[in-house]
Amino acid sequence: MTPAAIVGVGESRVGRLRGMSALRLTLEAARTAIQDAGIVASAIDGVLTRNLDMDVTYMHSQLVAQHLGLKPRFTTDINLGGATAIAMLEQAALLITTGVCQLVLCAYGENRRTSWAVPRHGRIKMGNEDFEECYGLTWGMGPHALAAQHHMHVFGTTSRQLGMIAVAQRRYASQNPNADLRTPLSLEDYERSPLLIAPLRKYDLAYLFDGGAAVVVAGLPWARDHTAYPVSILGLGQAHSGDHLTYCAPMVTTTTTPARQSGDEAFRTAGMGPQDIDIALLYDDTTYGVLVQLEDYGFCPKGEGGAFVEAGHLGPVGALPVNPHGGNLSQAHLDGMSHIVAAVRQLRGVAGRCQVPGASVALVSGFGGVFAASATAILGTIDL
Amino acid sequence: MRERIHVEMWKCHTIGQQLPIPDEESQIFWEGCRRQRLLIQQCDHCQTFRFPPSPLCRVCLGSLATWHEEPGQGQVLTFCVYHSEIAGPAWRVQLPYTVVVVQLWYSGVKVLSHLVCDDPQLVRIGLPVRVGFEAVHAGLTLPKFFPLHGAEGVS
Repeated sequence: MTPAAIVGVGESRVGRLRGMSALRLTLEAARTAIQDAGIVASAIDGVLTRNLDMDVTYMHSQLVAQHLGLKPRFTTDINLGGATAIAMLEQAALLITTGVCQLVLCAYGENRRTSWAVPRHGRIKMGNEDFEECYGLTWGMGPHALAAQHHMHVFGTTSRQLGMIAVAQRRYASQNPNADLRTPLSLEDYERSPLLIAPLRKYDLAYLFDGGAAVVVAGLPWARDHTAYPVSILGLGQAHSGDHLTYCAPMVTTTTTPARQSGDEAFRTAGMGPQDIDIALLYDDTTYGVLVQLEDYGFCPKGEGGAFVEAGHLGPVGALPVNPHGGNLSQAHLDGMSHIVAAVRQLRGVAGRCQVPGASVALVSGFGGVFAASATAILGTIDL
Repeated sequence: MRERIHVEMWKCHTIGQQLPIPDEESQIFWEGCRRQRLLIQQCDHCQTFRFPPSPLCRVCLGSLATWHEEPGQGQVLTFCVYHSEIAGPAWRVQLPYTVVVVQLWYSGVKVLSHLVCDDPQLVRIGLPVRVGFEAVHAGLTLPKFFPLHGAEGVS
């Protein structure tokens, strides 16, 4: 049990927001989260941000603090790619449980959708420039296609099963007013869509989005006294495969990811197991990412992710509703921050038409650098 | 044109074809490729082969290494096929292209590259392959892979 809780969440608009800087999106989300927490901004004494890919900025966390009028006790940038959001949550919980901070703001914003190809302030070195990009392998999705092919070869997983993940998430997104892709998607649409990076189709891949999201974390006693709907951080885990985005070859030729270790740690610290999870918000660069995590978190045995999906478990009435906000695939690709925001709304019971009835424990995950970094949080409203 | 509208929605879209820039770690490797030799580092302390080139052995942290010529035969561990110019417009002329991870039999290292193969039916996991070299310009050659036997994999 981790005595820290999420007391505020916020999201900016998402989608294609030309002219909106990453900083502006970060601040918009941060302001909403601070208002949601019902606190004055000056009470925040910890600020965690993610350094930017595009508008590469010196001491970005301090810049965000400055714009919010804060003089924090502790501030830093954290970047673990898609594992960033949960890593920020873990850092915030550590700062609070060790007494360093009282209220920590985790704020994120990116405008990769509209600024990726604009060489304005330079672009971060990803690491894969020398040994992967020269073969036209795009980071993120290309390695996922290689890993999916390997999984299909070993376990007989099918494209149609991956498609069911895309369809389930789109169904949720169509109910989410702040989702970018809300047009209904059928399995037939999926199967007719182009194989962009075979074996992955258009709808297997998460788009680039502009957007921001933020959360405020506090100690649980403070949260109980000051907020109506605190969501406790019950368990946390983080694991690294020992690889880097520089070279994906080792990561895409195995069917297991560090989500297994990171999940074990989160379940252990929460004193729970997969059977205790009501909803899962699984980081989804691609549909394959969701499938492999279903196995690695133990929601089904290794190799049976395809059958689990095919049984309809991911939908609203299934055994494990997954990404009820639409996920990276259909809502917005914000390095996992929107997964935390969505989990908190579900657990508070205020997710509107996306609400999964009775959801009280959520597993939220992040994957960074293809499958190099996995971070897991278990959140809940159960009385501790 | 329809394809171009949606490919810009993904990350990693770059204008030109990104080519390696040899540095202090990799220049011997790229020079080897230019002379049509696949050179792989082997740790002098614990004999572990490693790729891509790096300053230290990740097994024993030894810094001394010797470059060995790798015969360049191995098998396909996995592959994917790009049917779209999602990596950028420079790739349009090469479509479709196949990215493979090959495990080399001699050194055991896993190498990411292209599989050059006219017959898409031939491409499969387990396919035996051999290295070949493709000059991009006078100063730079990329190692690529080719089916080891023309008829291998056809059943």
